[in-house]
Amino acid sequence: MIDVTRTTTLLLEGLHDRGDAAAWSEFDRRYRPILVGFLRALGANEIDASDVAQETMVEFLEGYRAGRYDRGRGRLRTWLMSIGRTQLALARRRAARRRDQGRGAEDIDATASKVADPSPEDDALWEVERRRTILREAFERLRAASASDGRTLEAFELMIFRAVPPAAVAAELSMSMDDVYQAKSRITQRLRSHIAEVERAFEGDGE
Amino acid sequence: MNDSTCLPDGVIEMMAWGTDAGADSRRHLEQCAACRERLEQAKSDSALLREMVAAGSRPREAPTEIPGYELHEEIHRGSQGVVYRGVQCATRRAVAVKIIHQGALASARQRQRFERETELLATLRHPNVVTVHDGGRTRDGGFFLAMELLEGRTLEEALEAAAIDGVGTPRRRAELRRTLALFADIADGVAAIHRRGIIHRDLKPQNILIDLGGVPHLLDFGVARAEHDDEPGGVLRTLTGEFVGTLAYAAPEQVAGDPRLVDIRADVYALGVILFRMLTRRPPYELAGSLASVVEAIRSLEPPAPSHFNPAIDKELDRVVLQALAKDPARRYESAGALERDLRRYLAGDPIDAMRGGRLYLLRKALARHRAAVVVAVIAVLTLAGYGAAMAYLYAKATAANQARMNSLDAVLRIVQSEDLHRRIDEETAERLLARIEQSLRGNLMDQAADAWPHFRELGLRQLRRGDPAAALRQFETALDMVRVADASNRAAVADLLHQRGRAEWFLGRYPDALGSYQAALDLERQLGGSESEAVAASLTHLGATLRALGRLDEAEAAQRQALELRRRLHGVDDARYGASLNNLGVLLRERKRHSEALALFEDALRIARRGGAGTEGLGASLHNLGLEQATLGHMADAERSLGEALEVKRRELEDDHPSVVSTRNELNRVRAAAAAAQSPATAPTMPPAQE
Repeated sequence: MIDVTRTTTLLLEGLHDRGDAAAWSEFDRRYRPILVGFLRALGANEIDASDVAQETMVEFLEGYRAGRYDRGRGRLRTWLMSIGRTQLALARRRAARRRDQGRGAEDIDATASKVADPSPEDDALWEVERRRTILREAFERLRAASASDGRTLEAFELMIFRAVPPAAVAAELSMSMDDVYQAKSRITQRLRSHIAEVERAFEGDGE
Repeated sequence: MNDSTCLPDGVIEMMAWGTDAGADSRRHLEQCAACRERLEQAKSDSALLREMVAAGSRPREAPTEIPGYELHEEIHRGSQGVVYRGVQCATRRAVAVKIIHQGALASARQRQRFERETELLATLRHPNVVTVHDGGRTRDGGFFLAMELLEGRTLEEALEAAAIDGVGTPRRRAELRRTLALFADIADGVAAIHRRGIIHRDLKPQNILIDLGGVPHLLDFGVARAEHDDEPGGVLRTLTGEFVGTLAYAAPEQVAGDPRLVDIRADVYALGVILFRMLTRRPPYELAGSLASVVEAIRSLEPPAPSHFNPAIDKELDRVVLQALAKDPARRYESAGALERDLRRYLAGDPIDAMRGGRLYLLRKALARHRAAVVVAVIAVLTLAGYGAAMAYLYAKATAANQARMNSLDAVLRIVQSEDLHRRIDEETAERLLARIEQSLRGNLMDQAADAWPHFRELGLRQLRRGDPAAALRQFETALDMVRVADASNRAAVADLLHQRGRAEWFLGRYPDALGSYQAALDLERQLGGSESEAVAASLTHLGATLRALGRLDEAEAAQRQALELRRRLHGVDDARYGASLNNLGVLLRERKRHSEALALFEDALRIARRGGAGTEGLGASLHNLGLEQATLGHMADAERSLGEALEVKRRELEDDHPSVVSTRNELNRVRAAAAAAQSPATAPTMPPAQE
């Protein structure tokens, strides 16, 4: 789970402090999944997406620390999308070269790359992945926070994930139908507040 | 339904999910603002929940997904998977079940390796390695490991807690001993998995669990991450993703990005970092800055002595830690077992291997053990000391009969070789002796140099064989000085000593120095006997190896070819020395990636070695090199056979953890793994549950 007490803006400040390893791992936890989803949406398979996301994160960290990304002049998401696109293109080129040459020694020239400008479609893809990441995170937090309220959560999960009809849920868990409906709406309300909390933590990566 | 009665939650829900709830309900809704609002809320909830499910959120994994196991609560959720508390149905044994994300074992090769290593681990029972009972596929095609359920905290947690309490650094002797004993157990566990041919690759305090009884257990064998480590730059990619601090445990050769360089000695390095932290509560170096600078630091920063941070640590322990942390794997302990044994020796007050380099230490140790090699050192030194204080001391201690004979070198020899020498000279005396002798050396005893230098040469050769090139270099230099002063016309001796000095320099990695020595030796040899001599051939071979080490490959090849040709003329094509040259040229060509040429040379070298002239050392090396080349060319079955025989041959004369044996075993394991991966069966074999 992410650390909601640090907003992305604070994390970006923390990245400049080389002793702040937690800032990097927290930052990574937030943005790597978005990147992976974004790259998959661009057509990368699962393994390539995870490799390219890795390279992108490292490339970003180094560039950011070297002052190549000035927060006054750009958005975090734009940087990550640009680097991601570029790294993906490089990875595809490398793969093509490998196919051409068989198994030879390969030279990796990622630093010599030009950064591609993201398109409005990229922005939309990114937004979708960001939202998905926030939802997943919110649900994990919800689950952790509802651990003591096991039956409510179980009813909710049966209904939502396994599409068990409310009557069957009620029968299986010996609850009234009313309890089952209430479970759903209570959990959903909690989910909303977790989403808001996570959203706040992600503050600073967009506009 | 009465229009004025508000709709029950169930009806609202049905409508929210898009199910028709009948005309009455619709009519009520038209009239009732409150119910419309409830419906809007329910619709928006449902939309949100659908979105959440689509986003990939999953409920807790169902407890029935692994045949034969009941799963209970989640213990830990990590990057590779989730660990549950569970029960093995057949035995009702409580276990920890790790379910590995499908993504963590994405490729066929990774799955292959996971299964192979799980199988190896399932047959391993060691008190310091978590017991793996079982492993295989889950119902939905994922992977799981069923392990012994352990309770306690990780070494990382223990170290952090101690650091916070301020009671961390072990300063009292008893604390220090407890810390070392704990660490030795950890190293013993690592040695056990090494013996199964498994490199852990991810040793760190987070992966070591100290149970409630204080016994350490290795967890998490890095099986899932191994794949990345096999690609150039793999470790970096794996590690930086998590947390740059994890790099602190990665060996220089791991961050160098060449997976071929990584063997069990990378684990030795990680153990060194762990030991450093346990002793000082801090890492050997602060790793901060860009990835590039962190990598550079790991590759080049010399670690400080741990005693710098904890005064309770003595010189010997410093040496143990620093040897584990050596940048060059060849200078490290050759295995976790060697490190562990040295620590236990230290704990028992016995001389440790890490101190071998020190001359004084060497003498002390030899006096304790009465080893012949050191006796030679003492002889050489005593000879020069002549009638100095040292001699007088021995003289006084000797019997009257011996005193009479002490004026001759032979007599001294006999006395110092006598059984009870070590009882007559205690360590402190030996130390004083040595200091006096060195003083005399520099002074007025060069007139005895003509007799003495062969002793120094002999001592140097022994030290070289034993793996102490620094000490050997001193002997050769002394001998060389002596010859030049006392026996300058003996140019053959000078040439020979230059050659030997070159060897010592070569072993120390001082290649430019070695190059100078070999060239000087070669010049002299050519002046002396013309170009047609074995001495010239030997120097050419060594010169070639040095040029290769310096990256001057064209010149290296020319030198090796010259040496080969010369030896063919001098000794014929069945001679072991010719075989050695074939081998040397092969190594060079292998480096130049001319693999089929190299293969032919190794095959020819092996032919000669099989005749017996090269001894087991030559035979083992030929087989090893041939195996490497066969593996490179993809002849896996041949490679496995050659390396298997190489291992067998080497083990006849060498101990199991001798670097040469370890290196062959590593290569053999690699070849076997590659061969297994290449077969990659369509369905993975399931593993039988381990017998208790």
